[in-house]
Amino acid sequence: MPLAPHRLEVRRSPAGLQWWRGHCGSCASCVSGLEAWCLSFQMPDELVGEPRAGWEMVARHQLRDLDPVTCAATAAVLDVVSATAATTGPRDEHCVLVIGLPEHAERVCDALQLVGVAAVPEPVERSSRLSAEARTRLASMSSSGRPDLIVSFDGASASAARWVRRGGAIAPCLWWSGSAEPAPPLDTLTMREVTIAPLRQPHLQLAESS
Amino acid sequence: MTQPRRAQVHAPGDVRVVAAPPPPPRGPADLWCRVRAVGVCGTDVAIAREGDAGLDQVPGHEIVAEVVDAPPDSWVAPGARVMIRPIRGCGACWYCRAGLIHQCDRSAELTISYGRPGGYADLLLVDAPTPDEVVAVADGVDDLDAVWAEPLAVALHAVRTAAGDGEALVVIGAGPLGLCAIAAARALGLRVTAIEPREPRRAAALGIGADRVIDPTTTTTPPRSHAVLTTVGSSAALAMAHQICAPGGVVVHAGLGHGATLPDTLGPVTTVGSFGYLPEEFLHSTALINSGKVRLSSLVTHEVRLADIGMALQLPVTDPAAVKVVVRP
Repeated sequence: MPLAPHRLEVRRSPAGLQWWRGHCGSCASCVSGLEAWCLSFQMPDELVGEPRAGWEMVARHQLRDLDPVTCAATAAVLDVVSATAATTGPRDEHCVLVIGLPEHAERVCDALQLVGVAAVPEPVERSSRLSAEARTRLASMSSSGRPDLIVSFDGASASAARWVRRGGAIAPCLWWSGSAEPAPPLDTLTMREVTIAPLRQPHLQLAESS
Repeated sequence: MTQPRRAQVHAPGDVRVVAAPPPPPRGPADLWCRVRAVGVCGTDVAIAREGDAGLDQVPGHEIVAEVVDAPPDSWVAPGARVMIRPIRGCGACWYCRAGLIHQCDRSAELTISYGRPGGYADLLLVDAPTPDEVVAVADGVDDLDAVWAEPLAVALHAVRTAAGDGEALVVIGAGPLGLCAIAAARALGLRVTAIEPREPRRAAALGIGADRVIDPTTTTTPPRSHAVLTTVGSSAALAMAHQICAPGGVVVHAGLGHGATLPDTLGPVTTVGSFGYLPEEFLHSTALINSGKVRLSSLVTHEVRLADIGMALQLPVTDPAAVKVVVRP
């Protein structure tokens, strides 16, 4: 059986980039801000009457073209990119550092690049220092020299809070890593104005559908 | 005039009033000001205790002063009372170019009371300020209202971050920053619930416009809110914030607290740190004070002479009744 034809659609509006999530926006989960747990989640193909005004599709990728891990991780990153734009300020350039996923980080970043999100992998998990290669790539891709957003699939947050640019966001992925290190110290969070964004588990069917 | 004095950090925990060095000639764009009133902030207490801004540093950044010497074409003439923005940016780094001057790479070096001498002194040099850094106090506005301009700007920044376009805000802690946050939130049209264990501070919160106050020692289940702001750096306050924030809501932490830790589980909420303010928020703060929309002079519990600076820096820690201590040279 083929994988379900879930697609990763990324659209651009005047407000910025948004990942198509297919949530209803009106059920109990959605109104509580938990769209990823939408009770009426629909696949993109099932949606009708969806407002398109002001939206321009910039990329469309068949998820079956990606391996399941890359697919789910990419979707999770795009979700948090969209969610943090309001707190860190929508900017045309938005550089993401993806920590962890040793065997998939490059492919995740490639997928993010395909949909217009600059991304740098740091596959080394739970490191106390950012690798020289990641620093070099950040220097060339981010005008501040630091990432605007760090998604840590290893659950790290204290180091991420130090590496992100001041006023940037971090998203430790607890449901992926299964464990997390303690949150960053209060003074680091406050003085560097770091945002810790919740990373939602995307509705993606990664196994073969029956 | 007698020999000008200033209070400077002699050693960690030891702040002394000494004769100020002879003032340098005023630069063509500089202002010389005579300090009238300076608030004591927790940051000043920390600088005095730790000495982390460097020895010989002059703390004090909540400053109301009188201009005594200014360029002929200045927007503030000698004799004008002014509120001074201490946070300054280099104008050249990535953060300044992005409009985030409060996060400037050189902020520590340029900010008054940290890299530059602060207001615990008779005289203060403000080098080449711009009109949004030195704002005249309106006639009829008391120095003890104007001295709140800086912490009110801090509060405006935090409240805007927490509440966004919302209509309600829970403020945890009703110390100086918490009370400023309540005043700022009311000025922005928000409904405010304040959570504070000390009765006098709960009364102060009601007095400046809080819609509801809660004693966390007797109320086990404070109401949930989509916007929560903590203004105290204690682990218990941080845990409460995440407990009462509704899913999808925002918790903003504006307090500092060495050793304070966030809860292990933050929940499905966005957690944000808030520090300092933008230039427009300082201007907003001065406008609220000059227009009389925010009046906080009643919260000044102690006025202390510069000669007693040691006591002024101790009062916020040792006197449970202290809300805002103001130093009067």
